[in-house]
Amino acid sequence: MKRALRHIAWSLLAVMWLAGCDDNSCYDNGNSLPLARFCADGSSTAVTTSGLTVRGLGAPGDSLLLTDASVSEMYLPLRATTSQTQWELSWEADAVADTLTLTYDTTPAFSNAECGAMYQFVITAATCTSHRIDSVVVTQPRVTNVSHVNLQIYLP
Amino acid sequence: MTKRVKFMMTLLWALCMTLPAVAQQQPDTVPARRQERRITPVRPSTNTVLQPGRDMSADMIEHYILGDTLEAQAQARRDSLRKAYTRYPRLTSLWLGANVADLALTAFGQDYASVDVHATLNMWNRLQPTVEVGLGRAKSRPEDMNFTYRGKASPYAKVGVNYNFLFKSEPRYQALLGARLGMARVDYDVTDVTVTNSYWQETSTYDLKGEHTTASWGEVLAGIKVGIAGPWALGWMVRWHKMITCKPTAYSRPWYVPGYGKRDNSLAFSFSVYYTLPLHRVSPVAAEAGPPRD
Repeated sequence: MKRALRHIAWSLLAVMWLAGCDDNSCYDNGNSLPLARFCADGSSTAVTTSGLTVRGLGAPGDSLLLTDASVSEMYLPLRATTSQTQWELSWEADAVADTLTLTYDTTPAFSNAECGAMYQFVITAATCTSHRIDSVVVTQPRVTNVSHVNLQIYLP
Repeated sequence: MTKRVKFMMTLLWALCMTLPAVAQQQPDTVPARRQERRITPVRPSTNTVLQPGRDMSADMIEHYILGDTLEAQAQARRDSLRKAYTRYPRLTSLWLGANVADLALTAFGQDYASVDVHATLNMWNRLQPTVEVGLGRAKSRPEDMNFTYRGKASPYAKVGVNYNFLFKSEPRYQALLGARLGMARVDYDVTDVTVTNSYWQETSTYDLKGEHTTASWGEVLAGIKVGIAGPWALGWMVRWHKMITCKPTAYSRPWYVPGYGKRDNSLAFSFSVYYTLPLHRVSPVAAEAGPPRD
């Protein structure tokens, strides 16, 4: 009897140890961020654009998201308190900036404990001025914390 | 001439065939081996009476007294087989049990718990159909996270079967492999959510209340059960499970499912206390007696 109980105790400890191997990591983003990719006109292949500065219209302190950067993709955080967010994209070589406007619906979302609660967005419209940018296409309207391309910004 | 030779040969063949049978029918002829084995339990040298063994049955003693040691040995062999290869009746016993593993783990800081009672029918001490019903709840506010999760007490049920690999041993000791199909109702709230956007410097809050869905899953389990005192027994099982359906609501997916545990975990274990109700009064049937009867 003592031997059997000892086996049970050891087995219990082993199982508790195994059950404790709980992965608490969040492998996705902690927030829902739309990912925009720059593409050459007529192709969905990413191209790197340089000398790019991005700022949100109405951002506190006119803070910049990117400053004179070389990027092929960028995240554009959306405002949860409004249904529209505007971004100003300017290139070092150009005198005039382009304005990108995203209109969307906002919903609360809780997917798992590791990544936490957040908002998700569904982009309903995307428009832009055409100084440097040729056009904008919404490839994936649902914006979640899983990273995938939501917008393609075509450059000439 | 030919007819006479043929007749003689037929006569000779018939004689050869009947002679052994006639020899066997001799009334005074006893097989030598059987005659040698007929011994008396009284030793001629000392006149000491041999004492029967402690486990010797009355039949066996009678055979020894009558001097039929062959039959006594055969009886001993049957008794030995009965002990080695017992067969249990179809309705061997009924277990009533309670899984208290989560209750114990909440004392160590686990923020969810499922408690269930289960009934298991032990058939032939081998197959064990079982039903589990219980309630599960959760309350968690993870550190450095922006929400509070409240899983309301919700019911769940599992049906399945165990297979006892120690079916030849007494039912006190069992090594089990089993499968379950589980279903649960999941009611929960996600409250006190605070979402901060560092770029726009905005903070907003919301609550998701009255979220409801259902879940179903499959389990494969392995474990042991050991009798500790009288009808009481303890047992634990390692459970590997896989979600079959867990439909998300419009805004969320449950973090905790009653009876399953955390939705993203595939491993769980249970620790149960059992009470055994015997369902048969007769002793187990011997292996030589053929298929088991009720």
